[in-house]
Amino acid sequence: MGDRGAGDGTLGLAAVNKPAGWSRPTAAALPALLLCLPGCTDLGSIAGAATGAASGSGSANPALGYAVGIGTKAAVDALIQHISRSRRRAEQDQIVVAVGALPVGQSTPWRIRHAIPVGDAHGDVTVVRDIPNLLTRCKEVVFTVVAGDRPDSPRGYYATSACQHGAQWKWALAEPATPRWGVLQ
Amino acid sequence: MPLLGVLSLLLSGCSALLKQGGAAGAGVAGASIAGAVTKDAAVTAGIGLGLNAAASAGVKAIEKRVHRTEQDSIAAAAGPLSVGQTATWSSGHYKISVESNEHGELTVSRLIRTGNLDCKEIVFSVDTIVKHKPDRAFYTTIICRDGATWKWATAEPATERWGSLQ
Repeated sequence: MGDRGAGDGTLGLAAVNKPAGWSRPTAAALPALLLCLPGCTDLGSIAGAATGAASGSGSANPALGYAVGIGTKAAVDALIQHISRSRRRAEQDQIVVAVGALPVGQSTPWRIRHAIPVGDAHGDVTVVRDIPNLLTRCKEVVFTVVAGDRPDSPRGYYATSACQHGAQWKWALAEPATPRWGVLQ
Repeated sequence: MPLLGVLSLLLSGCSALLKQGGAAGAGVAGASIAGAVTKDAAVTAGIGLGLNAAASAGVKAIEKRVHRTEQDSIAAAAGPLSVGQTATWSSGHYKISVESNEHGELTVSRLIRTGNLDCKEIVFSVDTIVKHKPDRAFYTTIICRDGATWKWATAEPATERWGSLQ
């Protein structure tokens, strides 16, 4: 098989072989994709199974069905991961956006409203400590996350660090030590 | 080995694509071979899925090892410093690199010492060129001394905050 872009190759095969079978599962997958944006990790498998089954039934070759399925799964997984990360980055940016001007002990509200209104959240962010260093300005912050606007909406307290990056303040907490990655990867 | 070819070609960045593409490529290749010798769809898919999982685990293991090297080089550079001192760090060179070689500056912002514990809070920069201009992103982490070596000590995020990480 080709070394580059297994997804592309298999998509091409499917289009040649059974163009009608393609559009139905893809169209079915799209609303699901929009609905479960925050942390939907199974969608790739579902889309892969749908397209794999569709193309498998149109061809006598089981390998082709499998190839289309796994190629679709890879493509959808990568897309979901990209979308989820951009959304999470936007939330991180909102949490620390105002901490630059905030003295130690002071709080300010934060809020994220996504273009697709799923996973909107808000809370307060408090500067608990300056992190004095020679490279840039950094602060340790504790923030709350309230997922929703109801009185019983789930909430949590979290701590992180933020540093000044040019004119902006950005999330600065580095990744965990690799022995602690385990199931994260 | 086509998979190794893919690995070494996609030298830097794009680890998600590498993870997805490499694993899918192996699965598809496996399924094609299986499909050539058997007409049983279940066997074909089984062989393909098995290879897909194995390749995915392989890519993750390589990625983790490369990243551990980078964490070790940052911790080693920061270990001898005291508060207010700076040093440079570089992630070094790899035979197969799934991440670009990174470098930057680091400094110690706080000593965390209690009992036998010897830890430091450090601030480090990752220096890159963005649109022909030098760009510095800053991050904080904690390192602790384990015998003679300094190791990265930051734990994983709270599970409630994993969300899109997985």
